[in-house]
Amino acid sequence: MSDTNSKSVSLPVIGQVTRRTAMKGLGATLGLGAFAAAISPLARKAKDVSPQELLQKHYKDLDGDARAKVIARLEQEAKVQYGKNVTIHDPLPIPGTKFGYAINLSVCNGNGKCVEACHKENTHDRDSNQSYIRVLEMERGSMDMEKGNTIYTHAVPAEDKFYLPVQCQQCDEPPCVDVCPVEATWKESDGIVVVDYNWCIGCRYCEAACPYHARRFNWKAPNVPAEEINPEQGYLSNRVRPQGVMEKCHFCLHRTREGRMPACLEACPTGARIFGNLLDPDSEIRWVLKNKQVFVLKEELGTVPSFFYFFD
Amino acid sequence: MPGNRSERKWTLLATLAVVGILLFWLGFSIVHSMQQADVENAESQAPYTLAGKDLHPVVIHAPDGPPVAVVGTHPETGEPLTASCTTCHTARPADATHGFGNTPDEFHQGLAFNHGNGALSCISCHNPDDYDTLRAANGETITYPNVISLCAQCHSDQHNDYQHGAHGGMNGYWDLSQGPRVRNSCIDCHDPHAPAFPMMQPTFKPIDRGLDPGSGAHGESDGRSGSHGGPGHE
Repeated sequence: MSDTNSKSVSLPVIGQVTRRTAMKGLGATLGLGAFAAAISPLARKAKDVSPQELLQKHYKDLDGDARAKVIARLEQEAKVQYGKNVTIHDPLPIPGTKFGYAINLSVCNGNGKCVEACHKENTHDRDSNQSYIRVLEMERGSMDMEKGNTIYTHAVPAEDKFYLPVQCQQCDEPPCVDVCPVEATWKESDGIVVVDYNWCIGCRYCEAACPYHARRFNWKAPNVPAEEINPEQGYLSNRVRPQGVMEKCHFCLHRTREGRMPACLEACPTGARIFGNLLDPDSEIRWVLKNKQVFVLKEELGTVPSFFYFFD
Repeated sequence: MPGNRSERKWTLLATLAVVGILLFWLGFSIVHSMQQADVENAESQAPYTLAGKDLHPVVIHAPDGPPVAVVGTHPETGEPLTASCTTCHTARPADATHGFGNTPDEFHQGLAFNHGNGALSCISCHNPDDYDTLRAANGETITYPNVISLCAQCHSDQHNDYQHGAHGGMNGYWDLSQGPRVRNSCIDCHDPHAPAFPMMQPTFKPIDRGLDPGSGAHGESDGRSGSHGGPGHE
């Protein structure tokens, strides 16, 4: 023991303290510091988050009245943050409807008007040119979307290339939904996989799980001038997303659940896109499934997409 | 007497059975007559429409009428002066040496003809008896608003796809019970004199982390998607 005491003299600042005690103190100080640093984002976050938002329930647990209040609050927030009067709708799935989409790859020339239309319709971040759609330039004879080139800038179509637009495939067995730890994303009865942006914790598991790279993360709140914000918005679709949450293609449900075509289809100058109700035997999409050699991407994964491709 | 009792029991059972059969027949005939009445009512109703609603129209964006030729500019206003096809073509017959890929030197200057691999001339589609109309291969006159049926005589596969909504762009409603739809005609997308779809310059690209050659460490100098998950990362 006396041996230990003699060693403690080597700490000149704090007299009569054992090395063990000093190390404990140091460890405790470091630990407290680390904890404070770890929770400091909460302090920053608290400034941006109202108590109502913090206490907001999951979309599915909001009854009609509570949902209306949440939507009114979000409309107010959009006005404060972006200086824009917006209307947020909450259209519900149409009974007897399951949406399907098909693209004619013989016709698509990779011009990217769909990418641009999505960018505008969904009020994507202007700084990063964000969009839910990527058009991959593919070598003829290859079907491996992982080898596609998304940053071609030459006139299209190029020799010996074809073009593969990829967005959310609205899978019947969605891996992104399976991995979400908080059930902030789910599949609706009309087949659309949606996200409650106010419930998402931004862990990005779904982004990692999606084999089609269809999910996007908001690294920051979108930077969009007020006059370019689409004022017609949906709670589960194109309302302006907050920082730190996931988002994805929702088949323009604020349009399609009111019977309209998705924005990317209307923008396509080649007429390559066919959209409709898979449950209606007389629909255009059903005619395509019956009469064209359609295929899905990465069929072997068993995701069962509602998104089809064909050549003719 | 035991025999008397069992006789009474059988009589009672038989009576019940007869009454039961009568009731069943009565009930069945009533229900049957109601069903027949339903069928008769349904037949007298209006024709069937989807989900009980009237469907909105599908409007095809067709030309209003024959095109006009620009023959000069107004000396004062500078506005183009136009004439209908028959203005000239009633007075002068078509020059059969024009067409076949040659660029006409009068009135149709600048018309680059590239359709049918040299097998077509002007009057393959235009009607030499009335230049304000078109003419099918069987000699039938086709008006300009009806141009789709002219194209369809050769391009039947595309026309078949078009009729089923699988060719040609459209706008409006996928659900015609909720709103109308506007569809392109052939010549909205294809120049009838050079129908191959033109080359286009692509729009902007989303800045994908790991794909942009200028974005630093993850960039690939050859501009192709790298090993960082292909087209994945944003």
